[in-house]
Amino acid sequence: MVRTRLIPSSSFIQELTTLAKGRLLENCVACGMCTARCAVAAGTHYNPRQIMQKILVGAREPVLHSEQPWVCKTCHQCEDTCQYGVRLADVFRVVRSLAIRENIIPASFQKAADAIFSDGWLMKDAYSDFIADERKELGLSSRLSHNKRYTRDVRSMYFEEDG
Amino acid sequence: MKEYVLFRGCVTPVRLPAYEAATIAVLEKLGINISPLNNTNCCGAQYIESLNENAFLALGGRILALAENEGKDILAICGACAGSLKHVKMLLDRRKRARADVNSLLDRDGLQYTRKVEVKHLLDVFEQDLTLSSLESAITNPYTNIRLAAHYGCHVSRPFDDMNSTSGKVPTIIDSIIRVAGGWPVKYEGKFRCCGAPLLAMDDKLASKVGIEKIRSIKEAGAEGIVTACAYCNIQLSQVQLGGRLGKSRMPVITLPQFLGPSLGILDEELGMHMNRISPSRILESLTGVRY
Repeated sequence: MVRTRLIPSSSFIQELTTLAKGRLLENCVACGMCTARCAVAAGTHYNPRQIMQKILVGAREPVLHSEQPWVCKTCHQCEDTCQYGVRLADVFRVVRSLAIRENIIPASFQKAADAIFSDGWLMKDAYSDFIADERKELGLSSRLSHNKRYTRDVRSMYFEEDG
Repeated sequence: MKEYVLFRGCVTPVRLPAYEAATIAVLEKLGINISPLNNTNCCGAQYIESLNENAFLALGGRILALAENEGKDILAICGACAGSLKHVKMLLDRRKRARADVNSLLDRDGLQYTRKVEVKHLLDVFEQDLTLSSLESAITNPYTNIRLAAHYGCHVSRPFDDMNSTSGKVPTIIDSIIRVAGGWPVKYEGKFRCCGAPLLAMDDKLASKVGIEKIRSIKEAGAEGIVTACAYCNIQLSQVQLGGRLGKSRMPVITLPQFLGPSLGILDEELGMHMNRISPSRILESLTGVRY
C-alpha cells in the first residue's frame, strides 16, 4: 500500500469555500458526530468524518479520487446532528462537482446520466411488456411518454458531446 | 375540489405501479382530483444533480413549467422526485438569471416557468389539504390489533433548506394516519434513518446492509408490517428481505395509500395488492367490518 504523507494546507479549503455551500466546512472540528449518526458508516468503510478531516488537512487529490464523497446519499441526517453547522452533504456535493471538472466520475453515474439524456428518463430499458400489462390491469396508461428531444438539448447545452 | 397533476417520475411507474394506482384511488376517494402529467422527463435527482447544476435546473424547470401550463400544482409520490423538484423550485425562484436560462430553453416548446406552481409530496397533501378528522370520518373498515412501523424517507422528512414543511420537527403524519385507521404505530430505533436505496448504484452490498439494519430494528420493535411513502424506499425495504439474510419470516412493506385504501372501502384489485412482492395479507386480515 502506498502511503501518502498529508501535509496540512489550506489551499484546498480555500478552493472549496469559494464554491457555493462550501463555506461552512471551516467550522468542522472533526469530532465524528456525523460518522456516529450516519446510517451507512456503521461497520463499513464509509466515514464522513475522515473525508472532512482529509479536506481540512488539504489532501486534495486523495479526496477528489476517493469514492467516498459519492457514497453520501444526501439523507442529511449528519447535518441534524452536527453541532457546528457543517452542511456535510453540501460539502460533498461541492467535492463531487470539483472531481467532475477534472473528469473523475464513477461509472454508475456516467451510465445513469447517459440514459437520462438519451432516453428522457432512467427506466426505458427496464420497462417491459409485462409491466405495461400490469399498468393496464391497474387502469393506468401503459404509454409512458417522455420528451427525449429536450433532454438531448440540455445535454448538448451543458456537456461536451463526447461524454 | 383540489386538483393536482401527478408527476410519476422514473421508478414508480415501472417498478411500483400499484403505488401510483393506489395514490390516485385513495386521493380521489378523499375528494382530490389527480391527472397524470404526460410528455415529461426525468427530474435528474442524484445523477444529474451531482454532475451539473444548470442541467439539473433545466430538467426540473421543464416539469414545473408543464404543470403551470396545465394550471395545476404538482403531486410527486417518490421522495427523490418530490425533494428534487422542491429544490429546483427554490433555486429558480431565488435566481433570476438561472430562471431566464431555463426559460430560454423552454421557449422552443412554448413553455414558461413563472414561479406560480407548488410542489407537494403525498405526505404534504395529507398534512395540508386533508385533516385527520375528515380522514377518520371516511374510514368504513378500520384496522384492529395491528402494529405497524412508519418509514418516512429522507427527502420527504428532512427539513433541509426549508423545503419541507416540518418546521424542524420530526414528521408524525404516517404514524397519525396509522392510528386514525385503527392500527398501532410502533416506535423503533433508527426510525428516521435512510433505507439505503440511493446507494444501490454505487455499492449494492452497502445499500443492502443499511436496509437490513432497518428491517432488523423494526422486527425487534415487534412490528408486523411497514408503511412507506416513497417508491424507492418501498422497493428497497422489500427486496432486502428476499436475499435470505433475514431468515424466512418476511415483513410486509406497504405504501401508505395501499394501507389506507382498504379501510376506505377501496377494492384490493384497484390498489394492486396482489402485485406486492411480500404478501400484505397479515395486515389486511386485521381489517374489520364487512368487506365485499
